[in-house]
Amino acid sequence: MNELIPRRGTVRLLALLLMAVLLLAAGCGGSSTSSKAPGGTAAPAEKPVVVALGADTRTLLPMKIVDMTTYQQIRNIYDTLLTRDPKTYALAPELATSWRALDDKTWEFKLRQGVKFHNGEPFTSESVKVTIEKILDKSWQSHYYTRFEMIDKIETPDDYTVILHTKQPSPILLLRMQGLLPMPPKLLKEKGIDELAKHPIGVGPYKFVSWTKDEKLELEANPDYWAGKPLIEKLVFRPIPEFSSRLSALLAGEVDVIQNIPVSAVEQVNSSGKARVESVPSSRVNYIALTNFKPGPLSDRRIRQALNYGVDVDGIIKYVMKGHAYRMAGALSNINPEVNKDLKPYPFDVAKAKALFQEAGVDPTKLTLTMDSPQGRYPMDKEVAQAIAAELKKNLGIEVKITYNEWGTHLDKIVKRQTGNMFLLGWGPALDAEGTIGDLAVKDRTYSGFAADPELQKMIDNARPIVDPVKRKAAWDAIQKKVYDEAMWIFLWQQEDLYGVSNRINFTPRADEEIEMWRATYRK
Amino acid sequence: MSEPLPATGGAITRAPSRIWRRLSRHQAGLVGFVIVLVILLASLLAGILTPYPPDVGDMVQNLLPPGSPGHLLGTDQLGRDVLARILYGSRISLAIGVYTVVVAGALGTVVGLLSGFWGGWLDTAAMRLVDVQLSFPFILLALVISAILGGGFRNLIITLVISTWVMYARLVRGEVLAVKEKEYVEAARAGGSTDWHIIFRHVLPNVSTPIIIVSSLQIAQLIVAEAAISFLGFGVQPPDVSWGLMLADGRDYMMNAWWLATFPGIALAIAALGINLVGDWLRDIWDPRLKV
Repeated sequence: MNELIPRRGTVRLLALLLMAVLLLAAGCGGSSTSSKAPGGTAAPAEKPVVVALGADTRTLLPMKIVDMTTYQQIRNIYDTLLTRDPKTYALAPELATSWRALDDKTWEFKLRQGVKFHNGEPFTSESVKVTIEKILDKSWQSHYYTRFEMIDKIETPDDYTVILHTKQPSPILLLRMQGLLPMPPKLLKEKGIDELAKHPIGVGPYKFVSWTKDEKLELEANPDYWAGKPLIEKLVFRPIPEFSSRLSALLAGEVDVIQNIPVSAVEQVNSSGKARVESVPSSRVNYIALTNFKPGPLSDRRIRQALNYGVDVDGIIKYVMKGHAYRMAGALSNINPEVNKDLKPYPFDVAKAKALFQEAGVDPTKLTLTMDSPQGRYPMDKEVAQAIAAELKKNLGIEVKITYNEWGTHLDKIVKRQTGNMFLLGWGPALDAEGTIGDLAVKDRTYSGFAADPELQKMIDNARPIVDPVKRKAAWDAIQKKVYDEAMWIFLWQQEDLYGVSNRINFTPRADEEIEMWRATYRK
Repeated sequence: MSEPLPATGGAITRAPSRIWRRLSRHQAGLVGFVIVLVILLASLLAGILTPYPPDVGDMVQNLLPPGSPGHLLGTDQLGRDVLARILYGSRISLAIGVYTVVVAGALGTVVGLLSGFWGGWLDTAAMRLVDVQLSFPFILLALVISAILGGGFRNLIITLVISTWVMYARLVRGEVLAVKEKEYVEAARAGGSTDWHIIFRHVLPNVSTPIIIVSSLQIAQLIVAEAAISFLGFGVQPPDVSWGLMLADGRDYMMNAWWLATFPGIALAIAALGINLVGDWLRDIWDPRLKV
């Protein structure tokens, strides 16, 4: 636009542009066939296995920065006290072999014996104590501080027993032990935390080799790993920020594992001969929040229910998500160990929806709602927002105006309660009830989209401190039923996470997004 | 365009039949004229030309390739008819082009007229503002304004008006500087006419030709600009649809559903081509310097 009156050259330029578009179209038709060439030759087994993530690790220190990409990487160097069973996702032993509540505020953990850090130092109760003390040392400014601040006192009666005292009854303490990565106490004392930041020493399956910031993190198998030496000898994490570059690196055989394959690219990966898509039902749930912070149509429970009846969620899963999502009935996914299995998804029932609108005295065809959505953050989020808007218009006559936000802006609008009537959000890894409903149904919580009525609020407040597992489950089951009846969201689905995996390795992705490369093997 | 135009003053009052004769001799112009006419009719008659709504589709019928029964140009990822979306999308794409040109043209013309005619501090202030704004790349400026205002049809027009009015201001001022020295302006002044009368009755008609030519060409550029801004996510928001939005959405499917981005791209290219051909033709018949 720097020329006031374009000369004839502009016309020629446009004609060229038109030709370029046509050529591009022709080229795209051709590329899908050429990529179907039969599989490439198998790479030699010695070549390091490369995991490409969207970002580099932000630190080599455990328990310092809360960031999934960082955790995914250093988790291969450090072991955690508790883990989640790869099938049931219930808490399972790792460095702690057993645990029990001595009373509402006291927890005892028995530790695995004969485990050594990479520098030969033995793993004992002292390691757990020193690590928690480090997190609670305010001057260290760990992001994990708030997650552990309920701990009042740490006792180590012997080398393999840790007793934790909490300030108030905190059943959530157990979840915090999943993710506690103990550091070597002797090294910390002699050389300080800075040494550990440069050269991490854990008890985990992989030993640190080198780290070049923003380029690669190199690891090698720990021959003395307590659960046996990993089969993949050399492991490299590489940050590749752009998705399409990650995808081409996978298809070129340069990398072996990538995350978040979009539904539309599944076919391309599977037909490449170089790699395949491995999927896992994610513990991350996607939902449409129906906000009731301000008086409006969505303050009426009947209208929120009607919106649930009026959207063909199964149809969207089948045709828009191409089956890569799992319907959930209430606010928790089906793999969540605390899910209330008695709830059944709202059926798709337009007549019922219309009846509810009539009961509420609102004419849906005169209703305009606004919805905020991110684009590119969750699988098919852009399409899902439009599909739901189209469903509400087609089935009930409701006009839905969508605003797509850049990711940071989207979160900001949710935090400041500046979204439209509805917003699309994902939540996870969500494997317990309190961490989902306790955060998302309560008015003053950061990412909440719903203000519980006094009754629901009371149920949640009463359930939080219950330690007894049976009573706790019963309380949260009742809350899930209440949240379902209140229709706090348009309940959608748990995502399916799609990983691209090269054909030279076996790798099983996890629902909680952890990348456990020590379980991977070479393919014969 | 910095040289003065002869003060014929009769440019706009040519008889339609004469325009038609000139047009029929100018083949590229005729092609452009037909293209523009077809696009205008298509956007006006979208509701008659296609039975499908642009924003609601049948999910079951998603990603049908072009030529599928009932869907000439195929369907998109949500089962919406691509042809219907292009037809309805032309409304917003064209409306943005036309509205922006009218508002930006009016604003820029008034500023240019006053600035050129009166000169002095008003001229200096206005033209420095124009200089500052022209020093920013257009798309960058548009993106910054969109980021502040947010997306949507109305904000997009405001964004484009702010980004483009300076062109008219500068162009008109240049023309006015030449015209205001002409004898007929002197005569009007001597006859006791007020400044306003002179500006709007004598100066404006004589600078209108370049405004019309630039406007016609601007429409094409604005349609492309709308596409660029919508493509970057700052423009039209669903359930509204524009060609740029279709391009942006279709990009994700280039590998397995090429028709989603290709057809709106072709529509955009053809529309821009047609409008440019008409603009070129307008210039050819009205700009005497180009006559052999």
